[in-house]
Amino acid sequence: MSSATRIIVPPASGRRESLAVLLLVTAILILSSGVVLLHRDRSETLALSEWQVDLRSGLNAAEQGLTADLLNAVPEMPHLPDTSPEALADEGLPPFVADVTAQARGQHSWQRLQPGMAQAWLGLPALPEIARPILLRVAGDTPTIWITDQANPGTGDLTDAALIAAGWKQVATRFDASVTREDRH
Amino acid sequence: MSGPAIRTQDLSLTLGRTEVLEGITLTVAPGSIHAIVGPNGGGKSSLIRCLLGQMPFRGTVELDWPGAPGRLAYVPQALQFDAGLPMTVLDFLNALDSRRPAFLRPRAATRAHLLRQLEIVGMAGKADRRMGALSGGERQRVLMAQALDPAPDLLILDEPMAALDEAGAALFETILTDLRAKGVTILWIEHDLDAVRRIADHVTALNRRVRFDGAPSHGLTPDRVLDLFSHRGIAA
Repeated sequence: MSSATRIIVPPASGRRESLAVLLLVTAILILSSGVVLLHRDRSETLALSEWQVDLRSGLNAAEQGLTADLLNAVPEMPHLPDTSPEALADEGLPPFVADVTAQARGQHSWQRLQPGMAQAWLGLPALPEIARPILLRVAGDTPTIWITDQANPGTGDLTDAALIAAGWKQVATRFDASVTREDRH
Repeated sequence: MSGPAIRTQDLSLTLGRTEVLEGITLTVAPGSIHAIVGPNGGGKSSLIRCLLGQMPFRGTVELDWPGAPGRLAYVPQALQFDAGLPMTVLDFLNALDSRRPAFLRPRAATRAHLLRQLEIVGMAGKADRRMGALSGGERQRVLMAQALDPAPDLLILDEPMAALDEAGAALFETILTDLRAKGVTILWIEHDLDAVRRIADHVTALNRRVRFDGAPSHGLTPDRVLDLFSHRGIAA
């Protein structure tokens, strides 16, 4: 006689099915979280240097408006015969034109500086409590905005080192922070 | 090949809030006819469904096969067929017996085999009758025919003789005793206590709990039977 076989009859229950569903759900969760983790964009926190200031958190509304207008004016300039502040104001190009907006943003008076290869437009505010002195520097094709707390800032030869030495801070834009106004840096 | 022993240990079944079975400990000897008697709603069919693994019972159910696990056959209490269902007796058996789709005509060998099976249960002349047109007893015979083919090692019967006429009951008794002679274990739910007394080796009376368990000649005393089938017994 061959060896005896004992069969234990399992009770009907949803246990196996529930286990199978649970395993499937766990597998899907693990897989999806794995995909999310592996494909996530790593948001590297960009540290600002000492001589930089964040556009969003370091500038007030008037200064942010001036910065935006200056950066918008730069692409227009190659098409104009004269880029002196007066000519730009005649063209109606903000922020050089003295309109209500300019008044609300500190009534800057603009002058052009051309000490070397770069050229720059310096705006000194009549109302420094609204907006600080601001400088647009165009070196080659790259415009940069600089801002300072000093009432009568020096400009030197418009190199980074000279501007930093004179107390200017470059306005830097970072896109890694969330769209809310929080600045966690 | 001999049939298996069946052991249940402390088998309980609760469906909803109804306690259907309560602490059933039962042993069915291999190669014997074991009858289960009891009133309606006593849990006889539920016990069988537990043995088949179709109920969420508590406790253990074991089948001890003498060798490799053999074949288990089951005859349900009743199977309903619509009177207009165009399925003949032969179609029904063919669908259960053959891998060939039932809407195709069975092969000649299969057909001859199925007719032989019907002959055993006395249905040879009714192979082409519709299932829905059969009487309860005839349907019971067909269900028995499907259980006997292929030959089972464990046969579970749920009131097979309930709808049978006298000749049919006698035929079934012959079939059961023949199977026992071959070593098949038979678990048999039955209402006809006389038939139980005639052919069963062992009888278990079930009314939610095991009421008594022993040889039919000793176990089925008039007092016990009266107690089992009266409402007094349920209340006790």
